[in-house]
Parts: sequence; structure tokens; C-alpha cells
Amino acid sequence: MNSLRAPRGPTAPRAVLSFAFALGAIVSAPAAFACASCGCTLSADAALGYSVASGWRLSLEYDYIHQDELRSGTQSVSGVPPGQELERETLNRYITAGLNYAPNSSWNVTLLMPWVVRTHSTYGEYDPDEPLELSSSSSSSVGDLRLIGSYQGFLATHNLGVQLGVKLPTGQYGTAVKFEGGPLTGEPLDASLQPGTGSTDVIVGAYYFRAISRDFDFFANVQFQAAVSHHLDEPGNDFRPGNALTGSLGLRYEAHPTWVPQLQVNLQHKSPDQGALADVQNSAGTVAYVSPGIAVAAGKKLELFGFVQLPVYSNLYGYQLFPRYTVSVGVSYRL
Amino acid sequence: MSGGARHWILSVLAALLAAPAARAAELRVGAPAPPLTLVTLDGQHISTADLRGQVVILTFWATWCAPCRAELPLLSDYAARHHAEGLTVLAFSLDDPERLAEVRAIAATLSFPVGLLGSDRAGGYGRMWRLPVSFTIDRAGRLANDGWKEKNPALQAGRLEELVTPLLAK
Repeated sequence: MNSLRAPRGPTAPRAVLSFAFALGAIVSAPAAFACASCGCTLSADAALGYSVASGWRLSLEYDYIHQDELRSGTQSVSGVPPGQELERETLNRYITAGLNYAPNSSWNVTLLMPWVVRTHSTYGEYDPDEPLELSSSSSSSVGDLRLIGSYQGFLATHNLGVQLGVKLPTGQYGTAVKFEGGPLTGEPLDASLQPGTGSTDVIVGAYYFRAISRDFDFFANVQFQAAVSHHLDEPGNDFRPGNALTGSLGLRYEAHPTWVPQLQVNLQHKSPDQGALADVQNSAGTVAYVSPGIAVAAGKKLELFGFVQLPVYSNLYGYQLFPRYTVSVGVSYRL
Repeated sequence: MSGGARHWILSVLAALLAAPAARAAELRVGAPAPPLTLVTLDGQHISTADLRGQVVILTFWATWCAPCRAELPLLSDYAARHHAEGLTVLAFSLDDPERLAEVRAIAATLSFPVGLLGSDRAGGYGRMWRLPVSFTIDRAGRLANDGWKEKNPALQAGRLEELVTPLLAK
């Protein structure tokens, strides 16, 4: 099983080290900004353990995010004021294929290719004097690719790293996906619910990990993503996804060489989407999840992980659908 | 978070932490020492099982570990002085293979064999979660010292005299 490892300072001989020979992290959570302030905050890198192993790796991750709880601020709500859109539910399933190459223990680059399967239903603008009529949409298509390079050569122990990456506008965006049922049939889905955002985003991040005892490793990471250009940039027909700051803290229980239970705390703050096509008032927020999970080494090359994310805090602007839980499972194979 | 979810998380954590762990918990001074094989930098295999009758020190280190670098010359000198009395030191480096040249350079200054551990696990000695750490095995193959329980993880000259020299006299 892969391990985290950390340095030992000359003045602190009790420090840590754990080796990182095993399988490494090649997957990373897909960007989920299409679902406003929810989900996809799990750190898959940490779930599998940051790696110093060189070579190629393939990965596949499945994320299930069912947003069926309407929330506003820090509370669950039963409805929206007249004039606001009353959404019913959004079911997101992300299948993300990853390809990672590490020429040595200090550098690696990861390409993440998501396939987005999403169904969404809404009652449209709420009018207490009119009967509720449901409109729905369904889409299944490629999402936005992400290419992320990491450098972890600052320390001989390779337990401090930085990331620089880009998210590309490869998924359908803008008004591509339309409602297929109900009174809104033929109308375009919200820009934030399209498979892609139409934007090119810069991603920067950092991570740190170390053993803190015989049985436990600690890790922390942070990642910031911001759109630097967007296809939808014409006045009246523009959309720019809000910036997102995501961070995770976690403990990995390393007593067993082949299975590593762990607990993550995932935090995300997202600023409002912008532009005429954006739902500015209902697309920002701060959320926190507690995420128990496990990584299992099935042989020397194959590693699996599974996590459940349980929301413990949310402060959402406006009215947003929020998941009661999310599920992420993944597999990583070293070539 | 709901009470049910909280209860579920706590239950899972409790079960995980209570599960038996394949680790160094079984290490016990006076009990047979777990076997371990050093694959030296020149490819030799040296197993503790084949060293019965000798006093064996297993030491774990890395090039980037300053306390280890301070310990190694002391240990090398002690090993050279007591080799004829039946002392063998096996040194396991936790360096990446990429640092092999540096490991070799250091190994060339030492009086005992060195190899790369190649993992963060050292069999029954557990996960090498901090460095340095050393273990001593007596002539009967019993664990004489559990490095995880040492107050000072780096072996000092005084500690060697106190811990190992009496074993060599037996």
C-alpha cells in the first residue's frame, strides 16, 4: 500500500518518514463547479497517498452526487420566494479517466478526462398562483479536461509539493444542453449545469503530508481554480464560473500495509458565477464535508479506494440544491 | 451532520482502530526477533536468520536524515572495533533509488553492509515512520532492544556500550 512520507529535521529526530514506493495518486477529483457549491471536494490524491514512484499510471474514478435537498444559507428550506427558480433535483455522475506520468520522484503530470452524466429537474420560476410543472433534462457527454503538473522536489522526502494546471473548455457549454421535458422543453439548461463551463481555468495548489505516529499519516492540501478566459464573453451572452478554493485535511491509518482507512475533512469556498447567463445570486457558498473512506492495495500495481462525503456545514448564497451525501470510488493501475 | 451519520462515522472509526494490525506491535524484547533480510548494494542477501550466534544491530537511516548521518560514523566505528567479537550491523537505507549514488558514497565510509529497504515496511519491525531507529538482536536470535521504545532514537556511543557491549560479552 502506498504511504505518505515525511522529513526529519536535524533538530527533531523524532520526525517522520514513511516511504512512498507503492502506488501513487493519479486521480484527482473532477471539477464540479457545474453544481454550484456542492460536491467533488474529495482529495483523491491523498486518498491513494501521494507517490514518488516514477512511470505511467491509469486511473478511473466514479463520483455520485445527488443534489436533492434545497438549502439557503446554513439551513434546509422547503421552498423559495415567488419569482425565484424552484429546482427539484440534480443527479451528477462523473466518470473520470486519468493518465499520469512521473519521470522521476519530483515531477509528475496528470491528465483528467471526465465524462459527465447529469439529470436535472426544476419547476421553473415559482409562482404561488400557478400549479407546479416539472421540466427535466438529461445529458451525457465529455466534460472539461484538466491537465495538472506537480513538483515535489523541494525536500528529499518529497512530502511537500506544488501544483500548476489548466482546465480546458472541452465540454459542451453555454446553451448546448436543453430541457427535454415539461414546459421548458427546448429551453437551454442553466450554464452552470452544462457539462462544461466554456472557460479556461488556471489551477494552482499545494500539498504536504507526513507520518505523525507509527500508525497515522497526516496530510493537508489546498487548490485554487479561477477562469482566465471564457468562450462566452459577449455582452448579454457571457458566463464565467466563480473562483473556487478547495482544501482538505486528513488522517490515514497506516497500520495495515494493504488497506488504509482514512478520514478527510474537505472544505470549499466558491465565489458567484458571473455574466448574463450566470445564476449570480444562487451559485456561491462555503461547504464542509467529513469524508470517511478506505484505500486498498490489490496487488503491487492495482489500488482501489472508496469514500463517502457527508456534509457537515454549508452556507449557500440564495437557494441551491445540495447533496445529503456523495460517493466516490476509484481505481488506479500502475503500468 | 445528522446523529445517525455521526454515529455511523464513529462506529466505523472504532471498528477500524480496534482491528488487529499487521505491524510492529508484536515486537517484544526477549522474544525471537522477526527475521529480516538485507539486500546489499552489491546484491548480497544477508538474513538475520543466518546470523544466529552473533549480535546483530539493524539500523534504519536515510541520506536526508541528519541524526542518522551523525549516528552512522559512531556506529561504524563501534562495529569495526567489535566485529571480531561477533557483532554484525545491517544498515537499511530508506532512500529512493534515485539517491543511490549518495547512498553508495556514504556506504563506502562505513564498516558494515548497506542496502536499500525499498519500502516503508520492514517486516515484523513495522512501518519505518521515523528515523533513525535501530534494533538489537542477541546471539540467541532474541530481540534485545526495541528501537521504537528508545528515548533517544539515535544510538549514542554511551548507549552502545550500555546496550550492546554486554551482549557481546555473553
